[in-house]
Amino acid sequence: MNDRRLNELLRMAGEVDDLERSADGMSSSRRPGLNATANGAKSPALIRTDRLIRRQMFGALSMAAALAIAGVGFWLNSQSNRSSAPPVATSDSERGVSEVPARDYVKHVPLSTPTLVDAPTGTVVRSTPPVPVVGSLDESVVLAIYRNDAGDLHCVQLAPHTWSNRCLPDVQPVELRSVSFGTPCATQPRHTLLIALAGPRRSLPTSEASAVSLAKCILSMPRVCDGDAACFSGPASQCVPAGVSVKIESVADRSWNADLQR
Amino acid sequence: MYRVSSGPKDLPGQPGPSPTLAELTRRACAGDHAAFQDIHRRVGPGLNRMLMARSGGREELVEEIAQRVWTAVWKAIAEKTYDPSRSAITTFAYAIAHNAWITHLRRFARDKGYVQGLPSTQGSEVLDEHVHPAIDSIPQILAEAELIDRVRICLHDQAAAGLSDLEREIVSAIAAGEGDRALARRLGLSSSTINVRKHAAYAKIRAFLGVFNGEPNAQPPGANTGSDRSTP
Repeated sequence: MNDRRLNELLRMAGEVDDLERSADGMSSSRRPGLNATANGAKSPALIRTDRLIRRQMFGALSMAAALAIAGVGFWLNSQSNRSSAPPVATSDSERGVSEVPARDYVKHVPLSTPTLVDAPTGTVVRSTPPVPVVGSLDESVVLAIYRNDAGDLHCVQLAPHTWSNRCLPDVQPVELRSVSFGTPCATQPRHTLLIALAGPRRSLPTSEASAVSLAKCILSMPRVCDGDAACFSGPASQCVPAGVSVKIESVADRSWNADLQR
Repeated sequence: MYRVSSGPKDLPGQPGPSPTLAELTRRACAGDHAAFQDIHRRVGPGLNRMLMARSGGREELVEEIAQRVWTAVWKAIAEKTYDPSRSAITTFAYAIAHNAWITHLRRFARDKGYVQGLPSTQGSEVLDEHVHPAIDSIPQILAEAELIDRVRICLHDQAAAGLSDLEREIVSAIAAGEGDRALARRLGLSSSTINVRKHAAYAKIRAFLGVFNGEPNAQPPGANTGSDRSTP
């Protein structure tokens, strides 16, 4: 057995350790593997990993607390704005969509129009204002997050998209890439994330502010890697409300420019 | 698709702490389908992450390989070709996945013409062929998994191979993918010292593995041979 083969075996052993740790993470019991009985000794690598996990958990908890506080503040702010000056819809396309001041780095694509249902004749109309009824409970949007060289948020684009009444698991990555956003808001993004979201309309981002907020949340969550879509699946699932399905596609700069020309 | 989950789920009808993987393996080998499903639920995500990292996020390929890997694991359990006393179920599943992935890479290189002199294949038989050898050569894969488990013993049981603290630190770092130079910087030692200690550790590990392989010149490096593993 030469050094190369031994190196390979050591790396494989390390990967199996990772695999076993993740399997134990799915269970509430103690780890069943070799480490549980090997004289009680932990390897230095394991100790480092435990420290790293503790730091990441602390960071994630701090982030969650900050986001919760920010969310409550945003909600209170929106409530006070709503009570003092109710928004006036200037056209049908703007009804049901919250008015948020546009930011410079956001390029907004109008969302699908909610269907308004007229009250039947003879119905007693109460003092509450009419509520727009959306045609279907589940809708879908696609969020494009453009990142700069440092990996930070550069700009976002939001577009509604129907997947021909299919569920997100049935959507192929190439279909996600082919969603049209019109003119991209970044000419040479280093890395772009395409995120398809499906769920109740009230849970989906419908404005620039909510799209930016979601993008910032996803990018700011701790993650173990930065390359492919799988690296962002965990952060994305933590940033969206319950009941929202997520599918992510990661696009590098070279292929992205080609896709945009479609 | 990723859906927000409400946390780890336990098997229905099994309140309290979840059983260990070793216990689940024992039950699965006795024909308990639910135990096998629980093994798949616990080990599957990690295996998928590993394959996703290797494939660069190709979900369709990962799903296809993972599905066939678990079919092979179940088949090996059902046909009693998997021996839980020789390898942990995680190591066995990993070894099958690793084998399937390596075979896929070889097939891919052959089809792309990176490897000269090999015939190209087209269509669905590519995927079939790159996984089927993994299914057909279970005894070899089990032997590989057994070897990996013995290396893991070296990493975690200091007495097994007789490694010193520094040697154990070095091989653990190599197992975690850390390079010699980075390790030397971190430990404040020269690269040559790291290299010497690494080769000393390798010699001890070889001797430890040689005892298992029945090599005539191999000397038992320690009293503990790892026979007290809880995971088979």
